[in-house]
Amino acid sequence: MSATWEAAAKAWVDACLGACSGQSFVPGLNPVETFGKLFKLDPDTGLFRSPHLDAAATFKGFGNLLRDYSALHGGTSESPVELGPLVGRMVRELRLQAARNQLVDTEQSAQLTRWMDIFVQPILGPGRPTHQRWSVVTGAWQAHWSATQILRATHAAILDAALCRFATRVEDSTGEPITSLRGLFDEWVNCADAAYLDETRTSRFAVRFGDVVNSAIALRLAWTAWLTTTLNQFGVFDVGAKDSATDAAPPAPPQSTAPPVAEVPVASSTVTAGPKIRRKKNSAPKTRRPPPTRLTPAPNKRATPRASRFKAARQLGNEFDIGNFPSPGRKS
Amino acid sequence: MPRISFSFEDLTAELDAFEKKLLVAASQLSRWQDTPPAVATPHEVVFTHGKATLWHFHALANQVKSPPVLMVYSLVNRPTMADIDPERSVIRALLTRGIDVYLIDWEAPTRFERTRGLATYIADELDSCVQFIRSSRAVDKINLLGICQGGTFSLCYSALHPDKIAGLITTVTPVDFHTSEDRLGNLLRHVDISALVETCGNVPGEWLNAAFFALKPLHVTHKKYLDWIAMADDDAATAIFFAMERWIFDSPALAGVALKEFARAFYRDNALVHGTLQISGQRIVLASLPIPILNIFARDDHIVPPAASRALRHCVGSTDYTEIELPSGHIGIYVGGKARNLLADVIAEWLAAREVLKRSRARKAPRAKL
Repeated sequence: MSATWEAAAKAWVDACLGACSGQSFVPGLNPVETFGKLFKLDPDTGLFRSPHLDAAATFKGFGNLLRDYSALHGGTSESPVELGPLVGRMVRELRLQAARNQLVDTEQSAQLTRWMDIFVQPILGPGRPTHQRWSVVTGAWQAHWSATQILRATHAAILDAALCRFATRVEDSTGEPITSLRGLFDEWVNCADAAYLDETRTSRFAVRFGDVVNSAIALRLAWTAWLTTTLNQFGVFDVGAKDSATDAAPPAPPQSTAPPVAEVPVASSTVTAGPKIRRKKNSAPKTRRPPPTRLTPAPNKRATPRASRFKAARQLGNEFDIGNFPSPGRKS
Repeated sequence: MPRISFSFEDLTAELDAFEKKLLVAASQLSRWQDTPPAVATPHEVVFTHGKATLWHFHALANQVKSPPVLMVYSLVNRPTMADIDPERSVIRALLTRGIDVYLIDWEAPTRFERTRGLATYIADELDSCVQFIRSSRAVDKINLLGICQGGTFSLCYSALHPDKIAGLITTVTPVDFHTSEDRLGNLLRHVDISALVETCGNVPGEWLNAAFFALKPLHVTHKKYLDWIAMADDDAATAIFFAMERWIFDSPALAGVALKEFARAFYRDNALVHGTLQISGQRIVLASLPIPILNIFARDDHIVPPAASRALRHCVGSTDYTEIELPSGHIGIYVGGKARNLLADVIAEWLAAREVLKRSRARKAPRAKL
């Protein structure tokens, strides 16, 4: 088998695994990066990075694989081979490739996990307090990594089932004839989603998916706690602390500001002006959401005395807010 | 006869043709990416309360003598889906059938509003909108039309205030959250929603989208885009495609506590079916719901399986219950070419046929009650 074809097959299988696995859909991994770039230019390359083109790349990759595989087996423009029997064989080759990829992934994962152990093992000496804080984060990271790898192995099994189903379908002579590459690719999509559906119905999958999300949450909490402690050590006070101070008092329960029913004019179909009744002719639906409410302007660090920042940090009970999210342990 | 009936030459020709289509698609992408979304149907904002903004759509035909219809949308995504394009607007279709349409747009919560719960949305803000319409249109009762989660809200509200509702229409609404086909429920079953909400506050819309994408990953991330590339030179189809894409990715965050309550009460406890749900201290008992109900669901819905909607039949006590299955998907029921008109026809006919409309008209006279 050609090394080039094998490399292309590996890349395509990896792409399928990424798409089929839903790995990028798991909160805490990279959902925003993947989908938030729709209609945006990539600042590095100046090219569009959008799902449209990912789909196109996968489709083209599949077509090129089939063309190259046919060429490897004697097919040329002058003496074309019959594709029918070739497709089933190619899909079986892809299955083997997927299994090899999985073996490599498993080995790499095991090595990485072992390497991270150095942060989890207790140590003696002056670096111990810092190390202990790291060990909490690393432990959470390892738990998340482990859960992710288990889910990834599940996805690899789904991919294998999907390829197996696909090979069976294309070799089954009783179905509707497939008259184009696109038709063949659609068959693959149907087989992959059907295999995925079969697995996602099971409670086993629910547990593994839940483990990944829950461990991602735990990792985020651990990381936030580490950052909070470290920032406190250096007396760093950021914008988030101001928000935290506001959060410390529970937000007031929503108050109805609408006029009571009895006070709303009844007799006319025309709405009269009231405190909360607005009438805007031909208004367009809002296309932009209003910016998040900020009760007070962000603190100007230059204008804020350093001493008062320390004081504020102490008042907050050493809790800081990372980004726009509440700190761990705060009751909402 | 072998299934694969195209040749090596066909394959290479198709790959070449696809390259050309891809160029067209790339130019369309650059052309459409900055195009602002079109306003499909003229409307005005007539009332706001909390996070609820009430839109009233301008009449496009002589209005039939029936109580107005209030569309209650889900907290997930934006309600513009019901009015995405003049050619594919369910709202426009209802207006042309003489129905007076209002719609609630839930604004996204700020991070300080993450403690907003379901009671605030249903018992306070939805109620205020209903009260406003009743008062301003001088009617005793109105019709509610719930969409997806908005349908679940409408059911709860109708159980709380049956005296204010002339008829309830639920579309692609989950009622039983423990059906075997409910993949979203299965995905969420072992996720610690409480920890998620305590960590994140409001839950970003992108994460919700991701959960929906994970239900049918290759169809959503591959097939859909290849379908568009194949028709990228068709401007009209491309306009619709981009309008849908914008709608899909325009997903506001969900108030943390509301999501937690929804996940617990509905996904975990299936409280609506078991009759154990309480909102603002009042128990929601569907069995004693006396109003006419039209339950519409989609045959190919992978987000809310038909069985999850169909369960309503066994929960409600209403003698006037109708259910209709449309040949469509969860979103297609509102934007699909045929399904959209079918949906509007079904709703218009059901409203016209209800005796409740007559009763409502008869009761319209003693307005002093309001």
